[in-house]
Amino acid sequence: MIDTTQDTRKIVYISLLVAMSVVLHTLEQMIPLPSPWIKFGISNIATLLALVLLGFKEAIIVTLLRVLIGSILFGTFLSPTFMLSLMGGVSSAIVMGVFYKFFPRYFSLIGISLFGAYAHTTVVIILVYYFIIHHKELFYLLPVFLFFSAVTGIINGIIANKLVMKVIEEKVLGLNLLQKDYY
Amino acid sequence: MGTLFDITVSHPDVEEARKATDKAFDEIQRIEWLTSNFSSKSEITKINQNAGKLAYPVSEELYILLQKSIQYSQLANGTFDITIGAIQDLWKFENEIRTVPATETIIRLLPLVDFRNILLEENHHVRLKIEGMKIDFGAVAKGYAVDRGIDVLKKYNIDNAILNGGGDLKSIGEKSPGVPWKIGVRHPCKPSDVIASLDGKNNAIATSGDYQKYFVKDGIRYHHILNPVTGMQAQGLQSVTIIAKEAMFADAMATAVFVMGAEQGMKFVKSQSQLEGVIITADGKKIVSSGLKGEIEFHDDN
Amino acid sequence: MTITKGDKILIAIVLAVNLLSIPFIFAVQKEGVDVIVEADNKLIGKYSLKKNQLISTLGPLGITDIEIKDGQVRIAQSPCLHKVCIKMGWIKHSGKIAACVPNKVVIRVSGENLNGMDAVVG
Repeated sequence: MIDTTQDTRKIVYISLLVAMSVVLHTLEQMIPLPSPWIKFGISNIATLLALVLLGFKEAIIVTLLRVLIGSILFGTFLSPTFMLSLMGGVSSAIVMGVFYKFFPRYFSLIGISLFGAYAHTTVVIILVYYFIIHHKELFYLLPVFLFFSAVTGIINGIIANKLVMKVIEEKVLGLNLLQKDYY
Repeated sequence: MGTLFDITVSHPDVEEARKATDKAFDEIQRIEWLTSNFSSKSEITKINQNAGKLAYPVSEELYILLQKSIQYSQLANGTFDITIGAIQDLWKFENEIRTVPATETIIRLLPLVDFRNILLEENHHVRLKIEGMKIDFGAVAKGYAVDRGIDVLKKYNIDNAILNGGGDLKSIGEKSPGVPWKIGVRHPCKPSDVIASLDGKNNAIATSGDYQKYFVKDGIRYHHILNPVTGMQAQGLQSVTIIAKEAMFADAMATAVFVMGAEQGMKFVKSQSQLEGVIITADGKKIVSSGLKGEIEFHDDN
Repeated sequence: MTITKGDKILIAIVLAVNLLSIPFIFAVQKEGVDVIVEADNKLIGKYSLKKNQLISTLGPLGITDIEIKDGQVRIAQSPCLHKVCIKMGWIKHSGKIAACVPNKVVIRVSGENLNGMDAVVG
């Protein structure tokens, strides 16, 4: 017998994380920033939580749904902006998943989040170069973007670390959804 | 034409210079209309629409342009051909949709590319022999615009000027008494650098390069210089710079030499007394025609 | 979860690489001469940064206004949703780019005063 309670719970958690992700994504749009190409990427926290608490597949689902719902909310569905966040988000989730699976002993979510942020930035810049701005000068800006994505990646990682601890301590999830021991 | 034209004038009277450059830009604009096939009303569009059917009467200017283009094609033995239009359209370089056409489509349309099938008839009537043929002035229009622009400047008493249309340029006079115009040739790999320089001496310089217009699809770079014989990208070179009296001629010949390749191309340049040139091959080798040695200076040391 | 030794090493490496790349960024900064405007992947024009002016260009969404003032240039008005391009602010160094991605307008500062050439062909 399939444990349907378990499945239902999983769906509920995914929904919660998607909701959280979309809210964070929306909040982020309201924060004024010196350059529009620099983003905090705080919605990535939800992806990180999904990765740790639910698994790789679920993390991808949360990312996809966040991009989809976010784009519908902002009316950018299927626009270049949408494509960029889709590719950036998915590649970042994949990279984080890979590092999380293979190097869990070396990095906490801080390191994982940093790798994700780098992946996101690099993929977006390359796509922008190929499809929108065909100028090599764009790559001079890469160190700047990478620096900011490192800073935001670290901050997001710290927040995610704390949240995961909280979730475990408070036994919010209750069931043995956690796949590993994280202490 | 999708190009920026740039006029540099050395003239004592600013007002006079401004008036002259305004007139020159007007002339360039007029030629852009004359030679383009974007507008459904243009003469070129009409000729193309009547391909395989009727002879269409055109203006004397366009008739002469066609005559000259055909002469160039004969001289270059078909490596330059304004009837490339039918194939050029397949590659959609002007368009945002980047499609690589199927080989069988190219082969099917190749018979439409042949300058011998442009029939210049009496009273400035032009007929394309086969339906579907398309004239595309892409490889000479810029050069012609530069020539005409310079003529206008001269008419308005400008003796010292450069008219630069990106890939095609013509200079008259000098920068200041005793100081010649210095012309740079763009580096094919580093677009914000010059690879060589030479003095502008009342002549035209045109460069065709694989870096000027291209798109990337599935990791392969497709540039805009097509071989009229194969309908595919001409291979083996990065850029060809040709020096001649007229920019239109230099423009067409730069394209032709690019298609011919290093060996044939340089042989051709040497066989034409009115042409000089520099070829930069895909592996970065520079081949200079004999008349240019000592005139051209290279700025990178390899 | 708490910070690990791996995290710390990673952060140290990332910061070091970033700090090292800063001189490189400034080294390539040159005052621009012109601004090149492109819309929908087509060249619109090249304008001198010395002359203050307003340039309007048409993209798929509508008109984007570009302002040149005192050797700097910016996207002043655009019909896009997030106004990301406007927030990018003024640019003036050679090679710097501002873009309205939704309206497909790109402005690029060029510093083409190449090796004292009067003109460059190619």
